[in-house]
Amino acid sequence: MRTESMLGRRKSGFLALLGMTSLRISTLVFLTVAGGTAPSLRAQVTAQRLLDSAKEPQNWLMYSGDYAGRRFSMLDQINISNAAKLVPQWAYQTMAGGKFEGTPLVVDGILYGTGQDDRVFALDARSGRPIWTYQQTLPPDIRPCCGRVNRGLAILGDKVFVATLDAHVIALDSKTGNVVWDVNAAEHSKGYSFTLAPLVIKNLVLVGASGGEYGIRGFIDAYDAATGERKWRFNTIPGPGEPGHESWEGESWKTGGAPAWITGTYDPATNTTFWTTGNPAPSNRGEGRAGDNLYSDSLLALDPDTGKLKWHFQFTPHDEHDYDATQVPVMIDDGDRNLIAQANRNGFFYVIDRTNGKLLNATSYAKVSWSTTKDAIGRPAPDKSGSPTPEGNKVCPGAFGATNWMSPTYDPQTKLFYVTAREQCDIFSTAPQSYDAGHAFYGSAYFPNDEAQPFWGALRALDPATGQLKWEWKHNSPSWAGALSTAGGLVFTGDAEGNVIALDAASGKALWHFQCGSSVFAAPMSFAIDGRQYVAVAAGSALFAFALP
Amino acid sequence: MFRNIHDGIAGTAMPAATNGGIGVGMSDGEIWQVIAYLRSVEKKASAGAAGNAAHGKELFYGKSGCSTCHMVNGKGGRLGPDVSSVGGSRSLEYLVDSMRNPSKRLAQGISEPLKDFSQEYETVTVVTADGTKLTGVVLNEDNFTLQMMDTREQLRLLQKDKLRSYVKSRESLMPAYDQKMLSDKDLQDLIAYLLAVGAQ
Repeated sequence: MRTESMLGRRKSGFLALLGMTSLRISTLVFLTVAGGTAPSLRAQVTAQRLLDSAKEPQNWLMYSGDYAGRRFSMLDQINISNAAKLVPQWAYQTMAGGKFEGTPLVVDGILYGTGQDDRVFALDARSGRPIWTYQQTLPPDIRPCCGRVNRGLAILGDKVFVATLDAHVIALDSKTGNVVWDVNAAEHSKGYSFTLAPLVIKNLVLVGASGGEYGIRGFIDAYDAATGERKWRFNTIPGPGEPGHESWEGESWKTGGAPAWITGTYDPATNTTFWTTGNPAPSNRGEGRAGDNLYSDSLLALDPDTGKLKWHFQFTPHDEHDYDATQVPVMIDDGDRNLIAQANRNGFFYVIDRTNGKLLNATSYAKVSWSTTKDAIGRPAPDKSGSPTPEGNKVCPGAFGATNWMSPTYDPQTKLFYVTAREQCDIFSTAPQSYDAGHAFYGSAYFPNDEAQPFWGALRALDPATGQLKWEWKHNSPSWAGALSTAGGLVFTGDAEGNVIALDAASGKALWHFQCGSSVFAAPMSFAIDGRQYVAVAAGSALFAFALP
Repeated sequence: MFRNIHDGIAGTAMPAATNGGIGVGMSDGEIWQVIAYLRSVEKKASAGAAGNAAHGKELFYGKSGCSTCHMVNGKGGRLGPDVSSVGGSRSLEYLVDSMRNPSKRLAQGISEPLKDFSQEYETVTVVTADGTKLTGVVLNEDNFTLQMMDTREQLRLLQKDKLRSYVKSRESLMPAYDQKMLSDKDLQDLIAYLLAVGAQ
């Protein structure tokens, strides 16, 4: 029985020694307590359920909540009239150091999450009690650029899928945490890693590589969910003979980066999956890689069945400031217009026609100095004067960007797009550097600038129709937290000081906050069990769940 | 220094420079190169120390009033930074600047985005709900609360939405010690004192 094996793992610390009798007893206890939710535990997460995620708002079936990447919950039990009463229900400690960036999934009462160092856990979502845990054994020569992080899972059938820092894609049995299949996608010692939550489309598991700091050649892969067999690979840097290859100087394409390290989105109506890519390598040095460097810093529209490119839009041609475009490309439908909105790390808020990749609007949403003109298609174009210099050149946004990987959210009720913005400029320097496999490949560095004004940040509400700022909630210092909007008229986010905050989605007024005791490096999500709505978010080394009393 | 860079410093914002830290990972050779660079630009305050440390101590605890706000080895005030070790860790230029123009360092201060808890001795003035005006330094704050020390060394733990007013400034509470308040000779003596205790 599935529930038996699940509970067997839950008790594996000591009960496994006691044999089946104890397991049967604990199963009975569990079924009594779980009551009506027990039958749904056996339900499979089918590809159709993922398509119809709107029909089950109590569950959070994928990284961004839905295929559109909106990170919007239709639950409204917690709303502007009662949010002030929210209280913590439980906290789950990973006991791991470093940044806890994961967004968990919740399926029929079970929460599946990932934490630092590629640990995976399944919890009773009502109590936070673990059902099973899995820890990937990481070799000593992995190359995580920016922390030993993992942002989450995907689910299909009775498997959850995790992509790891040693560049493996692994399917775990969702009932036990046992490995079903494990494939090595690339050489971790050369700088390849995974940090993102995979995306399941139909029977395929899609992942994108991290490693833009190590001169990798980026890719997006699709694996058969049943077997782990790789079905296709899209190289984010075109090889010889492929369109776009001419945008690289000499051999620079071989080590040009363009990683795809944040989860994409999917439009079933056109069978198109949208992925974004990061910086060309070396990030701070354009010399030696003359050209636009396709498809770095781009939005890619791919056929999920074949991995074939339908169209691309490049946000930052020939980037020299590490302006990864790895922000979730959010699908917005506005009347008969089918759009993608992205507040980019380079400081511009782009609205793009997702049927053809045409740019409709690009408006700055934070302090920008790298671009003061637009090209023929209305795209912000880099200023020569913004290039890094040997002595250092102050440019805004800084190296961490006007935003970064933290998830934005789109609320179809307010029709506003909410994004964590960072106001920070940096001094960018450049120096020659030769490629050395598995070695950091920056082409120099960046330094904090010497402005008197300290760095700061804000959650900003942007109107995709105009690109204009509607309101902002100022953070005390720049935040790394993403945002969740809900049908309760709320936007949840977090800050670097450790607060989880509920804001009125219409006005930006703070309605509630809770001090978690450590910085929030994740985005909140929401789920419900037995008619009770929860909001969960990671902070420090713990995952917290909040609900009304 | 190698160990601090290689492994980070536990309990602080300083990450390990090797895999898993915040950077892209440095080899041992690269860490030594960074240390060589730091050594090459290091400015030792002792190079310019020629004052009378005993007289500097008298000034510190006496007419210059330093100990009203600063502590050396457990003796003195709490409002400003403890200066027991600054003589061993700061350049002469830094020490002179800090006395002649204390706001300069504050103005250049940056809050580090990955640091949970940085204290920069920003000046804060609040008016509480009952009309009490308090001035002091920020110990910590977030969007909702403020933890400050007032000029009487009282810890004040405040909720921002309960305050009538709240003004922060990067103008230091410490007066700028100009020639009238502190002659070059006395300044030298004070620095000699800080160097002497910093070397201990």
